[in-house]
Amino acid sequence: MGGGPYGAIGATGSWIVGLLGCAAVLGLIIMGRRKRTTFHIAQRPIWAESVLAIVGCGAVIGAVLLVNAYPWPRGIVRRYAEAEGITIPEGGLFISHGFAIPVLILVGVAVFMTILMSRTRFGRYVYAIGGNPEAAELAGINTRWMTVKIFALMGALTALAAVVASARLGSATNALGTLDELYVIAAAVIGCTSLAGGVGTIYGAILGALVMQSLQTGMVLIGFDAAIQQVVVGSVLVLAVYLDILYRRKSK
Amino acid sequence: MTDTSQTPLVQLKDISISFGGIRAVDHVSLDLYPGEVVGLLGHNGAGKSTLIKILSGAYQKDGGEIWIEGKPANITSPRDARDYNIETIYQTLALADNLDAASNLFLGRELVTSTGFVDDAKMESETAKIMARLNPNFRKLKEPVSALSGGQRQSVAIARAVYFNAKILIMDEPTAALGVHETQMVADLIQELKKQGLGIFLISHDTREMLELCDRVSVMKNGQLVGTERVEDVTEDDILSMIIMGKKPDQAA
Repeated sequence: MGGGPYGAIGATGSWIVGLLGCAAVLGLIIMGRRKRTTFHIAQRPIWAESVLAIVGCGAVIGAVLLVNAYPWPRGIVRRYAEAEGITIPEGGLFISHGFAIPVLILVGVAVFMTILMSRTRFGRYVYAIGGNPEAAELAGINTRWMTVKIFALMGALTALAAVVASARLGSATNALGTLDELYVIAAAVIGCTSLAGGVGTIYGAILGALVMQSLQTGMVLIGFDAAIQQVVVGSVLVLAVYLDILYRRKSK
Repeated sequence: MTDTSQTPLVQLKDISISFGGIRAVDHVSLDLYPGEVVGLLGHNGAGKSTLIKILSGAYQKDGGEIWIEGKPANITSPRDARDYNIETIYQTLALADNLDAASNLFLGRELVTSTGFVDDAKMESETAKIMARLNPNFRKLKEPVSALSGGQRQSVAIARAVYFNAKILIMDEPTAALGVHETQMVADLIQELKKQGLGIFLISHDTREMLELCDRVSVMKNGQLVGTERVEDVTEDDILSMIIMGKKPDQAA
């Protein structure tokens, strides 16, 4: 589950995922059209829908082509060929990585959480408790039980992240993930989650995590000292929170 | 008019609650009959909102009994109160600012589709229907409630209480932020609900409005009930003296 050559689904698997992705994009567009007919809202013009469909499918197919372009390293190909009894032809054997399993886990979690937060009562109550805990209590929402459930969900997601992290490292100490909450909070705030509660989206948090991880990987590649890396991450978090407060004060 | 021959909708018998050393409500007894409006008057801090929050389940009483329709009732949470068909409009409106009007109206009681997902579309159309009755100028259904004016927010809170077919309605300062036209709409609404047989508890600071809308008024001071009078029997000055001096008009004379 850690990614890498043995943690990816290969070329055929990636094409299957790509086709499923295209089907999902088309399905969403069709569902959108059907919903508009039911509520007598004006339909989007067909050319706009087709552009959306093409762009969506194009992005999915493009991602598949991208991940299929990364071949396994020669040494690993050789070991694999010896184990399977395949002879390596001239010019090398091209086995592509395909989508890494952690990426698929991310997509699955993102889809699940988006549906949970936007379509279920649980998600609605989370937003209500964040916006006005007293109103939520007076509306009959069991805020204590909801808090337990929210923490339980967070624990489950953390466990999933821990499994993936230790799979990537191959082993782990019990201190794995210490101080990671700093990055997580920074990622959420950068992704437009309000610290005051009540506002936030799943894709925003994922984008924030992307930003934070790019920042961190970038600093490692540049060769920053580990201490300076932590300072930079802390400063980014402070800046993000400051901008969040500024923005909210402006828009009040 | 109050029909005392029927079973009272609500009987609050000897209710007490204390916060630390302060007796917020001190052995208060009140009745509410179907089709009547009972007003609660008093200073700030007299205990009116606290008493009403005990009935709506927000606070737990320390002593006394609540009887609904002649049977003892155990109200420990807002959910219990809703099960007894008690709906409340709070002074602070109790709206979730980040959610839109439809979500606030159905908060805690969302309409779900057959697959268990929240049915946004149906909630929105039902909200549009009831808001059209209460406040025809209300258009911003999809915006978060924090973007609405005070009067519109109050309309949403009133719509929430009225939509769910309550038998007992509690209104804590319902017209505080409303303009003249909207206040008249609330007054008309109260008359209509009275005809349907609801019992309404009304808290307000406006004595004149209370004498117009209510059938009976109760005055509270420092947590205790000064007295309950029929609106025909008292004048505005009598009520004022009850509020300020804490004595019934015949006693003060």
